[in-house]
Amino acid sequence: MRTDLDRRLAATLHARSGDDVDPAPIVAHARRHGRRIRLRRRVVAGAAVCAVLVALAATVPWQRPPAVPAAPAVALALPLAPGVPGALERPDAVGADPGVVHFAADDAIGGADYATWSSGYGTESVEYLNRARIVLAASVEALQAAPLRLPVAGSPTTPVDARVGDRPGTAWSDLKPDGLGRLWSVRWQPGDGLWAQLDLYAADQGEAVAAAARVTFDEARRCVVPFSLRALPAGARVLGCSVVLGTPEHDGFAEGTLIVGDGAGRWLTVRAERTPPGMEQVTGDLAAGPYQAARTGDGLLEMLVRPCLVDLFLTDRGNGYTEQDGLRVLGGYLPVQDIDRPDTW
Amino acid sequence: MTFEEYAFARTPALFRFARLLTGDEHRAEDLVQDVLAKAYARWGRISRTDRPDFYVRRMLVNAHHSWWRRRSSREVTVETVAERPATADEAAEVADRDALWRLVLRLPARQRTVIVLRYYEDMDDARIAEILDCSTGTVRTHAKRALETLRAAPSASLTGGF
Repeated sequence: MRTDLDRRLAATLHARSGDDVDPAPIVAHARRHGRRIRLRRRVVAGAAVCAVLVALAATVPWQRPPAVPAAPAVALALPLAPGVPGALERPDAVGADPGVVHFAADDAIGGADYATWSSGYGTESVEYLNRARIVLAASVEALQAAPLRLPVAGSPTTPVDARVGDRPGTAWSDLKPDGLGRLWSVRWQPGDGLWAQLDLYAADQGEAVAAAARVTFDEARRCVVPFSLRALPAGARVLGCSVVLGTPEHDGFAEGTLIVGDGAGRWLTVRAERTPPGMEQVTGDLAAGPYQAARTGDGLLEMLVRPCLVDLFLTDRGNGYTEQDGLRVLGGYLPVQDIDRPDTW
Repeated sequence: MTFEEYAFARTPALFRFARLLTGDEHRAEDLVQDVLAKAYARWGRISRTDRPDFYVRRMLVNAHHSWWRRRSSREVTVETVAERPATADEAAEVADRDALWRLVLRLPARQRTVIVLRYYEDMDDARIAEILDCSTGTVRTHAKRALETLRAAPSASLTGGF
């Protein structure tokens, strides 16, 4: 039974809990610092592995490893798709093939640690973490439907005319939630039947327009992940692809995702990420081809295929497929040989 | 659920909770940011638990208690009362809440945490014990001592008694 003090305490605490806050800057801060924490853990874990290897080297006779060609530096760019035309030549192909992005942004944005490339469902995009986003679509409606994860205050200015090279477009801006800086957006038509938008934290409109002018649409890149799926459910195909690449200082490949579905409402998501520290053991008794998988949550299957932790989402990021379907898909999971060389994936 | 989905949905509630634990707007912001950064770094694991929000709240409480232990001085942050009531009854009510809040702020960290979890989050003793990683008996002891302190405070009589 509640006493008078109970009631007063409840009223006092509710009155003192204060107003809601804008979560965007706090979430952005958490992502930024969370990545640093994760990186530090990997460095510590790597140092521990090195220490073990050094100790082993002191006791095991050394054999020189076979010579291998030097691996190219892992950059934020996707590998070329030779022979595949860019978006200017085939605007109708934009977002239609999850394995391809029909533009490049090698020189457009600097200073980012990670890039997330995505293709499928009618759009192609790259998001440079906490810096910029570029989206490409065959219609302005598809462009507008693409999610924007860069935090803004939500009060954009009225668009004004802007030219990107010799192409017409518009530009507008919105304050960052902390009020320190603006996100500038430029939307233009690089070619007939083709829409592009660049969002960039920039000093002014000129900087954003100049960055937009450096995006190229005359070549294609492969949207690749370091695995393939050899056993899709009947009637299913890959509908979407997304890959997160870091700079060499951030370990290169971070995460790759394929969305698989039948185009009629049934779909599932397979995600592989570099195994986070503390997740090196997955204890499961579910047979998935040559692997052992675990049911680690409602509609979530997980297995370890070094060096990646692989998750398959039947619900939340999927719908309509059974656990048996998921296990068959995982059974057909085939990792690449060299996770550090996207050009070989 | 992705980290972003969780964080955008739950940050306002975590922030209100942190305000009550710390009694300080800036400290609450620091606390929530630190805890969410740590949650991001291990989201793969947290998202697979039955109750991600429960897990994060426990991280937040632990971080607050660690900070409290590290704090060199024991000064209490007391906010100024910004609200100005329109009537005499409302004035008395606001004064009562203000006095009670100052007393809550003076409670030891664990006692205050129990009070906030019980009267703001409306948790039962079993869930509070899970968050604090202690027995329900310990929770009841913290609550009993906190309520005794609040009842015995001189300002209780000034504001009509508890």
